[in-house]
Amino acid sequence: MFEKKKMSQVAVAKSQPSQSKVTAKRKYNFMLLMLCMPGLACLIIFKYLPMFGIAIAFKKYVPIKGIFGSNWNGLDNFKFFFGSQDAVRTIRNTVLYSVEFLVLDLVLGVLIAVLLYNLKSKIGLKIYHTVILFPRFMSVVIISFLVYAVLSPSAGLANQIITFFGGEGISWYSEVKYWPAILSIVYIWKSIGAGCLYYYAALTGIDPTLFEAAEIDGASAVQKAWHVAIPELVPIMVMMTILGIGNLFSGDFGLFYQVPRNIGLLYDATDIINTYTYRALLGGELARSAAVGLFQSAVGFVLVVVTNAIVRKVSPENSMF
Amino acid sequence: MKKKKISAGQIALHVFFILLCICYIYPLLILVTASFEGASNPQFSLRIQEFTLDAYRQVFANPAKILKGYGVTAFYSVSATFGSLVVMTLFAYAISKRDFKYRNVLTFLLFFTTLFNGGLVPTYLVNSKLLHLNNTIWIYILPSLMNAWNVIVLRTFFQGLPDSLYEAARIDGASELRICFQIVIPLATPALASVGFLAFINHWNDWYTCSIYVREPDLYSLQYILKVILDDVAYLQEMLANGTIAGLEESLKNLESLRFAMAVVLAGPMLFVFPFFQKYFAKGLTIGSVKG
Repeated sequence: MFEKKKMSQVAVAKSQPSQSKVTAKRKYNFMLLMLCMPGLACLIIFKYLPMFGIAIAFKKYVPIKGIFGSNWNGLDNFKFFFGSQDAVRTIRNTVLYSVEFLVLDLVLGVLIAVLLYNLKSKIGLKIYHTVILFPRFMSVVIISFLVYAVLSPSAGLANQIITFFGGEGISWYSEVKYWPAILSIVYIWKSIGAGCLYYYAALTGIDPTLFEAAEIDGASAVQKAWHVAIPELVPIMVMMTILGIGNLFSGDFGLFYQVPRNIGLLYDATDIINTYTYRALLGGELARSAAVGLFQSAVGFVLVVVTNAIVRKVSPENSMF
Repeated sequence: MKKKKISAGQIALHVFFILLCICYIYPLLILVTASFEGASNPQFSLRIQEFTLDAYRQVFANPAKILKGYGVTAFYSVSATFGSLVVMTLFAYAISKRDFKYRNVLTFLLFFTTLFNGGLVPTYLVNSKLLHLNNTIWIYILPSLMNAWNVIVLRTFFQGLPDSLYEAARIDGASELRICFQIVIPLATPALASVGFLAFINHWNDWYTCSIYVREPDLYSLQYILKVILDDVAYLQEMLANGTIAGLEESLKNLESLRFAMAVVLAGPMLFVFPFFQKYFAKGLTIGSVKG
């Protein structure tokens, strides 16, 4: 108590600072503000300026008149999208794939991390992890080359295997029904190496005596994983799920556009909101594309804010804001 | 008895991972063997029916466009990575200071961009109709200088440095600018390396920016060239026929091999280099997972 009082007296004394201290503080703030300037300029020009351009979503855009010269048309651009069958298809695909990828990431990420953790050979660990992390360094264009090498109807690996076993080759790029599975496999193939890193890092942080105690009690490797390792991973699994729910409404553009090679026949299984807005932009439908983009941004915003509010209730130290 | 059981488990693990690795390596090997395939009716597999270097001869007969692609991509990847590290470090340093007057405002302005954005079309209009960055090299560099997530990672790192460090420097009379450049940045090298490495990969692998903003073939990025080659055989022919080569179909029975040779030449070298920097990747994840 005494200490505190003394402190507050000092603070009172300090609250009437000399002129030079005020200028020093001012100079300090000015200096730091100057350091921020280049970054602030980038934010304003490239992030905030486009937000005003959202007006285009409510206009009948005529390129010569510009955004602000074009006439308002209310919600017509939105009505056009929601009235078309594209709305159902893109929203359904975006959300369903997001949910599926979230589950795959969770289950397989934990599985691979636990298996890597159980490897005793350090060299093996390094080699295997380097290999499965490799796709993280590839562009989606190269990945689509690889997919093409497997699925090419005349020369691809998949049809070679099918015909070897006496089956009939499938023309993969024109059959919608296979694409949900193909995209899921490609997704998990390319992202599991990076995805399991979070869980692996968490596993290496577990107190080893927990495992030793379990071993003395006669637990098998599987039992140790199930009863010791996985409960320790639950907090991070919960976090990843919540973050994933925040991103439910946007998909991996490269995967859905480049891997199916933008083939119209496959849109029923491959078209998501991101690919739709991109195609509408390249097709010159700027106002309609912007309307769909705004819808996506707005729903995404609500999802992130809501999930963050939940995180703040469950574990405040993990909330983003 | 027990020891034997454990090793059986280990063997099973190794078998599993070796099978898994084959799923990763096999398609890459096919990509390479397909580029050496000379047969007119090829099957993609490890076995080459008619070995030939013709595809590579074609590719290197007129390398100007490929070299240009490499030049453009290397230039913007290096300058964008370096530029964004400078811009982001300065910003992150300032908002890491608890006694900085405008800290909360600036942090909010930064953070809000991760929650909401104008979307593809408004961004496109600003970049191309207002700033006229389309069809210039700047479109690859300027819009990506500030990445909010990376700034947050750097800020978190700076906040983790001990206060005594700053106090000591301040007592010695160092200015804020000097503290930032001579003390903090050298200490932040690991964080900067991992953020920079990830940024570099993203720039190097970028085909999206090019596909929206660039219609000038001399400014195509490597990955966009690759994308066009995969989508469009005519472009491939045009690209190679500019030189002295006549009648592509005569000289090459297998156009497919040319595509794959292009893929190897355009994407191969960097794919060999990147994994050596893998440690920065893992580090970046662990730094990023600490939120503040």
